[in-house]
Amino acid sequence: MSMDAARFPDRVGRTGKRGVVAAAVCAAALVLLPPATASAQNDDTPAIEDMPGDGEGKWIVQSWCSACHSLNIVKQQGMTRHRWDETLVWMVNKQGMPDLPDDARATVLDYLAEHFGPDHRPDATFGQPSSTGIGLQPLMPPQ
Amino acid sequence: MRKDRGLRELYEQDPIAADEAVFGRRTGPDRRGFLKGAGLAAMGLAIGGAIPFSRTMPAGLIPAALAESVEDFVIEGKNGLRVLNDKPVNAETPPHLLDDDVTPIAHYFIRNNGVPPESTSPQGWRLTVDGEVNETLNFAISELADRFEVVTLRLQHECGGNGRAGFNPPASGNQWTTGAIGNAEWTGVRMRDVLNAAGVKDSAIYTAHHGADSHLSGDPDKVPISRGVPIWKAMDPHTLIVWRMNGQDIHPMNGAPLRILCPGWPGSTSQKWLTRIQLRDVVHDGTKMSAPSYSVPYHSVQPGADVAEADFKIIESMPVKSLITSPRSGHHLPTGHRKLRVRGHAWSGDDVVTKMEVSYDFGATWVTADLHAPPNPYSWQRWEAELSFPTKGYYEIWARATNDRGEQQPFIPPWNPKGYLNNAMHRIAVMVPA
Repeated sequence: MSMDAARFPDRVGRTGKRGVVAAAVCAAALVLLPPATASAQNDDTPAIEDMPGDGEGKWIVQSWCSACHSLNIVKQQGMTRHRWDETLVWMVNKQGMPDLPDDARATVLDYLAEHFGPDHRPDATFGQPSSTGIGLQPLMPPQ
Repeated sequence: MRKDRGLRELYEQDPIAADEAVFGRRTGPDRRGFLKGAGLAAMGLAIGGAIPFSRTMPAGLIPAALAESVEDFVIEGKNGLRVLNDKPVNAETPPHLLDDDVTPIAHYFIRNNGVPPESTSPQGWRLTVDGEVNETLNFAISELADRFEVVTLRLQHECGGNGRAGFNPPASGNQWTTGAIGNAEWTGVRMRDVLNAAGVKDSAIYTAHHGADSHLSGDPDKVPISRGVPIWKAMDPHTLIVWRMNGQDIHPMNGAPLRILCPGWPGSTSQKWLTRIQLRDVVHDGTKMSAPSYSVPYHSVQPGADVAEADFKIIESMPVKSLITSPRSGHHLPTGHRKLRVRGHAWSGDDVVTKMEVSYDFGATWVTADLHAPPNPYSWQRWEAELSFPTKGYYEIWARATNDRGEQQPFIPPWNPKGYLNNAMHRIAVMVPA
């Protein structure tokens, strides 16, 4: 894929002061983290191994998406490529995400559709759902 | 042929140059210089810069502080919650921790759309009332308490997306199971008294609520959420502006020091960190007021279908619903025991629950439970029942509530694109060993 700076002519002007605020926001978020998690920041490798798959798509999702929100929200989803596409449009139009270049965007959509498609059960949150009790699955496996 | 290079390769080779190429970010003499021309991805760098920033790119770009385990995530003053998300913070309450008539602050769910304000101190906090009013007013919290009648009510308050995890195909958003509901005891003043003090103009048809939280992207021009309600709901005597929760300060994650409590409607209408109520002469068009946010199709749709924006309506009253809060799912009766007392709560948006039933045979037969009247309108209602199991074995207890309109909880909720209003019957598992 190519990555041409000329494709982003307006980027500096458009994103102006946002980063300064972002720093304050992130610093505020860090206050909530317990010491154990905070110390993990010193590790060379962030604890992201639990995102499935590999390659460019995974890398972009990990770095771009987590800039604003937790990857847990990604891992909870199960959507078609079409609905992931709509989600990216929403992120750009409503949530302030910078546009990805077309090829990177396609790579991201491929990754999301492959690993978080409609057959992906959205159970990636911490721990097992206590007793969802709202689906059709048996609540307790046969003993 | 020139070899195309991917984003990752660019960052691995020269992250600073890659940043400039991709996002037009320029670094200054100080690493914080990154932030001056920052795009959204700079937030990762901002974290890296705010704490020892020694990692190489691209690992440094990925905020390790947001490491994808919420297992160790601790929220002071909360316990037992299931954390769905740490940025923004979203956490729900397992059913057995909702057994109290008044939900303890420690177990009260959290649904954030943005980043809470840094200070949630009541000192200096102001509330502005403006828009379609005769006179713009501005209050300190103590002035609200002095000027208007102070009331305390138990109010049910549920996230519109509670139960989203039960939809198939999966609906997008936080995958709440059953725990984005609480029934705390809130103290404050009636919104209508405050609005009447300002003088509601005939042109006012809708409220617009504004809070002090900030957008996840850090963009000061973006608003994480600003919703409102029709004026008739704002004037309901149970719609409150509150500063106490269970007789204590409101938890910072639950909107301290001042919030709206608009019971029976999607939780998002109960603006947290409240700074301003604006009356409008149109349906409010703030962030997350437009479809598909907090909206459902006005006609039934095939699961997975695309729905045109024009076919959505804004959710108002939440549907009839109940929870089994005791015993906890997975309960084993002692050997030789066949009787079990079960209990929980039932609620129904703007309405009242009039009947509560439970089944232990997968819905073939139903036992009517004892249902208590609410201590005040808009509180959830306690119910309890005693069951006798005919044989040993695996049982599921199902619970369903019916309201005064004759509406009953369904087996399967109607699918909708954003997975709102799942009021399917709650089920728990019970083993009867002998």
